[in-house]
Amino acid sequence: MFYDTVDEESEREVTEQVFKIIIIGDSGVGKTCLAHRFATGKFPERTEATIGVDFWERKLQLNGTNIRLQIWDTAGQERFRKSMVVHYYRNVSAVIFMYDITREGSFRALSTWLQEYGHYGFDESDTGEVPKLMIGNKCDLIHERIVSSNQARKFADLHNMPMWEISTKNDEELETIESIFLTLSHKLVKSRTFMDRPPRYTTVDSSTEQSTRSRTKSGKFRTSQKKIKLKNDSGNHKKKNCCESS
Amino acid sequence: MARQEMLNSHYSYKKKVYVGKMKRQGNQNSGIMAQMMYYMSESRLRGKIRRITDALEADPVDVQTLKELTISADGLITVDLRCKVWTKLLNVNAFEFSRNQAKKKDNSELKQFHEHKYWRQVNLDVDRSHRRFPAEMRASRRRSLQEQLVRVIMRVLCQNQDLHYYQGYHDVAVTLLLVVGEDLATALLEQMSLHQLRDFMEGTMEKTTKMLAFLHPIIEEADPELDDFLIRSEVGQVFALSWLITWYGHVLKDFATIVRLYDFFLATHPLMPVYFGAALVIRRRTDVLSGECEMSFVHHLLSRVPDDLPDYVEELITTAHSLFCKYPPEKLAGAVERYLKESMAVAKHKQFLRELEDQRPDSVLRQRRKQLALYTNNELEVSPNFQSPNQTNTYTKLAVWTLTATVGTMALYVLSSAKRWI
Repeated sequence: MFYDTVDEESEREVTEQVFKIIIIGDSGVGKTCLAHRFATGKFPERTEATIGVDFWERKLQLNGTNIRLQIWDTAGQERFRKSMVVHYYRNVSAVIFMYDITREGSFRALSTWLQEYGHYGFDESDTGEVPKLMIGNKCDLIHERIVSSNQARKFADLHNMPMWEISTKNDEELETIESIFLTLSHKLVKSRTFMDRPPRYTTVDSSTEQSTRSRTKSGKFRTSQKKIKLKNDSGNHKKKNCCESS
Repeated sequence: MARQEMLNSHYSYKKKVYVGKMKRQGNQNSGIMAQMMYYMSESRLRGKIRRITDALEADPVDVQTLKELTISADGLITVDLRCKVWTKLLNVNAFEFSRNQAKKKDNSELKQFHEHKYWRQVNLDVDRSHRRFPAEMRASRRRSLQEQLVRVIMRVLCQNQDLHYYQGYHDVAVTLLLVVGEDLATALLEQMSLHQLRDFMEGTMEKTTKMLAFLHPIIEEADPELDDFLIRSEVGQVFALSWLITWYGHVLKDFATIVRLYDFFLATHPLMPVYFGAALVIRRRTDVLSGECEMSFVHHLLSRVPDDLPDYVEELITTAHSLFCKYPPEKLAGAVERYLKESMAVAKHKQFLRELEDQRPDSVLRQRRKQLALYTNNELEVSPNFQSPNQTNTYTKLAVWTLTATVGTMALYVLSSAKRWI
């Protein structure tokens, strides 16, 4: 689908930071649509059931830093998440929990998803909390809404997550989606710079980087980050409103 | 000069053999040689069709020959042959079930569907399965096929409560539906679910994961360098998940290639899709090895099946088959052994193969059905309550006996009363 293979010479000088963002939620809530929308800017006319995991990628430039966002799109059916998707919880930079505002079941399932993520996701990066976001999709079907904004916001507050209600289908909301990811990337870059850089870049990373470079033939260099430490600053974005732009 | 020409023609002859094999170019290449090769491949196909028909008509059906012909180049060639041979490869009697289909579309069935725990999920997945239908198909036709698809899946699930639906099962069902139609697809899907797909339909995906893990030992035996690279990249094997559980129906775009693979997998071992996956990964070794040794990169590269796969699908089938013969599952060590012990698909496979040996040809089955139909239509009405063919048989017999007895008694009575009148 989408994988940016354009080798830009200019990127050689600057190191690239890769962030892995995973989207989880019930089947049919629009995980693939969100990933597709963000990666290509378009709403996919037809999506299929995702089997296993799949990822989309987009390159961004933030204040002179090149970053690559890898959006991992997962299968929604329960049987897949228990044995397959769990493998992909490791080393993520952020998690998006997604539900469908017209289907209460998908909203109620969020607590199970949170629990499961909590159970599997923290074995390696327990030094800092991984940012969690909550997104309610299908706002274009507003007249079929079942899950109220209030209810959702309460839940999000309870779990220290910023919350948005969006529609991946509406073209006008593309900006909202962009801004969600931009805000997130800002935060990720900032936290990595402050928490991670000084010790790792001078010692461990330089060697890792070297070895990565020698293996890479496509001209893309990436730093390897096995651990991502983040400050627990969820208090900051707790107060953000629905559909807020950065 | 003459010699040169001969050499040339010899060369072009060799080249055309290849062209002839790839039917799509066939006749378009002008030149007498190309045309000859085209007709030769035509006659080859015709000969193959005849051999398949002969094997179908043997009594008992010559399943071994059918399998060999199914595996060999071009598979089963036509839709008609697929309908016939697939039923034999899955031990389905095409003439047994079709007569109780008419009564099936009633409300009680729909109610049963609605109450089933996978009803919503099945609908969700079928609704999103546009891509699997031919692009030129009219929307109304597609919708009606999608309704049929839901019925096919739900019938199998309702009749086998211990089978669990998985996303991707609909990809298998739609392939069958498009080839053989609703009634036969239900019967074939049920047999596949109880045999080849059995391990995917457990409550959890544990056995599927173990089956997927076969991929590495196969690659390790065949191409250690590549497997080492894959292991180092930590890619795992989830990239092959949809290959395995949908028999490549989810990832391939070309329908002819999908059904060709179904031919192959139906005629071989339940683990063959994994061997085919290994063959595919090995074929792409240069792409893999020249890329980054990193999880997301390798996952992305491998999870997408190349668009030109239809051009060399026959080669891949040959490779997969020879991989299977060279490194059969029993010879692969470690985790694989444990899987073999647990797998129901593999355990049942031998028994299943024995059952396949004892099938009657369609001509006999059709005859039988006709007789039975005559019988039932003339003598009595089939009650709509009959659930399965077996039950029907018992009921029919019972009814016939009762009727005979009644008629007999009546006759006796009439006779005796007639006597009195006289």
